[in-house]
Order: sequence, then structure tokens, then C-alpha cells
Amino acid sequence: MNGELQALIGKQVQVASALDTTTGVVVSADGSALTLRTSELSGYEMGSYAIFQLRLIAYIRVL
Amino acid sequence: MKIIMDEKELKALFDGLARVLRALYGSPEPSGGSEQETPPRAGLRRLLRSLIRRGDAQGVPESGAGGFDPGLERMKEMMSRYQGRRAELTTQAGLVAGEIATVGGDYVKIAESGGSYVLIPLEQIVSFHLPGKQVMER
Repeated sequence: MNGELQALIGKQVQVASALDTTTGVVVSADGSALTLRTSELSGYEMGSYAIFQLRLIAYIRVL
Repeated sequence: MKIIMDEKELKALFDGLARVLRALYGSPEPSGGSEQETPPRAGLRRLLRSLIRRGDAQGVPESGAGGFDPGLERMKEMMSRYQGRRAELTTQAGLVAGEIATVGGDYVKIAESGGSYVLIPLEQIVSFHLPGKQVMER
């Protein structure tokens, strides 16, 4: 699955866990975690990010 | 390290191993009660110890993440058989419905009707249904 996730970098996805669903752009993915940028990047701020443990992700919808 | 086999396969494995060792080092001499280790036996012991240590260091799980899980393997096999068909998969986060596009080593890719697709880790699938027929429940 790691290869599929690498291919999603820069794409808009929806990550669902048992608790909630988060939408954002995939920034990085490795064997244990997936990082999403959950806000638009502006010239003044670094934006906000969400890091998910892969083993707790129920599914990833590619929008 | 984990090996799953029945008694017959285990016997065949040891018979094969014995044949390889006999071919390499010849037939074993009667020991005559001596406890001294022969070089091949000591080498085998070292090899087994290093394999066991490696297994411990890697924290090989009994099942689940990275380990062999018969339930998961069965589900993967079942999904591969129905590749290209419409299916409904339930996960802890809800239902995902669409066509089974790809079945990977540890995930399944579902193509939804709106053009989006969904990646689902096999471990997260609670149940797998084909419309009109229940295929599998974990």
C-alpha cells in the first residue's frame, strides 16, 4: 500500500478513521504514517497538518 | 519466524534437511555416549540461535500487521476472485461501495461510481458483501 500512498502526494484525499474523517492534501507517506495538509497555504502561515498512524486508518478516498 | 505446516509436511521438511546434511557431511557416526559437538551440529545450533534472535529483534507478530493471518488471506483471495465486480465493504468508518479495481498485498482499491477511488487496508475491512449476496464476515 505504501507505493499507492507515495503516488498520492500532492493529491486531495479524505482520510477516515473510526472516529472522524479529515480532508486534505497528502504531504508525505511512509511505512507507518500519512501526513495531510489540512489548510490552504498562504504566504504568511505554515498551514495546519494532520498526521495519521497508517494502522488506524479505515480508508483513504481519493477525491 | 513463524512456520505453519501439518505433521506430514514437518516430517518431509526434516527428512529433506537430514538428506542435505548427510550429503554435506556424510552419515553420522554412532556417538558412543560422547557429548562433544561435531562442527556441523555446532554450526546448525549457531544458525538456529541467530534466526531466533533475529525473529525476536523484529518483534514478529503472531498475526495482523505484517504477520500471516489466515482470515485476511482468505479475504484477499475472495476479493481477487471478484475483481471487477461491484461490492460493498464495511469498515469501522462506514460503508464503501464500488467496483473492486485492484487487490494489493495489504489493501484493496475500490472505484466508486462518481469517479473517485478508495484505498482500504485489508485489516480494516469488517465485512465484504456482493450486492444481493453476503460473501464474507470477519
